[in-house]
Amino acid sequence: MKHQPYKDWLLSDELLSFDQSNKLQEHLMTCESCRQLSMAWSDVQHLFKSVPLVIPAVGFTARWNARVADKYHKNQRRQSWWLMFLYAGIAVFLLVYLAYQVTTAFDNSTQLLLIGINQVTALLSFANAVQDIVLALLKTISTVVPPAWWVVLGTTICFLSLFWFVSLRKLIFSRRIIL
Amino acid sequence: MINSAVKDVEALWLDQARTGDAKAFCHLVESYQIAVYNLCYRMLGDHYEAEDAAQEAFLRAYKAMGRYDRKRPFSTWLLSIAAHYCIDQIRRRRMIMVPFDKLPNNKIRDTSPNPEKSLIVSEDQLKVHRLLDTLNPKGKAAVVMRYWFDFSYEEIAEALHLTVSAVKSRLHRARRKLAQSWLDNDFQEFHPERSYHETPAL
Repeated sequence: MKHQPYKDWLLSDELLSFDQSNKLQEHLMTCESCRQLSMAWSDVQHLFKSVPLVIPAVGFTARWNARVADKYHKNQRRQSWWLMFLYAGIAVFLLVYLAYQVTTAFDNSTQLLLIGINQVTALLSFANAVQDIVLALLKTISTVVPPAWWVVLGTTICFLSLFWFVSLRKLIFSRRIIL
Repeated sequence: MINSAVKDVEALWLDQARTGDAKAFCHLVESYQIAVYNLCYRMLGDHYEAEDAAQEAFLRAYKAMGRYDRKRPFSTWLLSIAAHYCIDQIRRRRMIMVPFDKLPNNKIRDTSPNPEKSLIVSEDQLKVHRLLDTLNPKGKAAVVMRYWFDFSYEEIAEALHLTVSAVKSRLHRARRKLAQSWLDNDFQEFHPERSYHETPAL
């Protein structure tokens, strides 16, 4: 007995035409296996429709929030580790470069000593020049400004310093009011 | 009118979630958790795996919100993500051959106070698992989307990255396999209560 296209029709989701439906019904009346298949599929459909929805355990959204937070923290930690490795890599590279530079410099230690002495001499010369300029300035000002003004200026500076110190102390150390 | 108000609120949440607003996405999690959980449960057959898969699906959706196309319904897109994750999980599982009569009876939360009814419901759930386990992962996903979520062929095709004709073909083969499994495994002591639950999962 031919079972096609009847098997396809009885398992089809789409509506059959009037003619197809009649032919299928006639076939089912004579074919036991197709009838059983049709009943089986009907039972399966009823089972699918009758089985209730499964509800997740209470607190699903809270658990999801916790999962998101956990992923975020893990990402942050991973990024921190990557940054740390990157900086460590850069530091190691710089150390190696510095070590190479120092090693090559030690090959010519006399020249290094001379360069060092030159640098120190230049710094001392600069400091000397600044000192000369300041002294000259002070000499000029002292001839222009009378001594009394110096006393007034010095007293004002001392008074302002004291005032600043007291204000700072009051701001840093809060007063305790005991009731 | 209520439906359009709900859709407007959901559209607002989606807009906010696309800008990275986690609170807005939480509202979407509240709205869709049952649907996503059910799909994952039908696909994986285990309560704990379904919870994990559902959580992961929402997380993936949250990360991909910038790529969500507003022209598509959010439910279709979200369930597509969940289905793909579940398909990957099924493929990663080691195949452990267990006789049918030794399958574990998974504890499923049921709100019914009647213990006898709870037992019947648990048995029904087990039968559903046994039937769905005879299908390949994509076929299972197509069946779940069709019969639990009333997805059209086009929606299933879009969700599973298949053509419409491929979906029709897979569903047809799946129906044949399910009906044959029903006959072969002698489920015929099952007498479904003929109170038709027409409400889809969404």
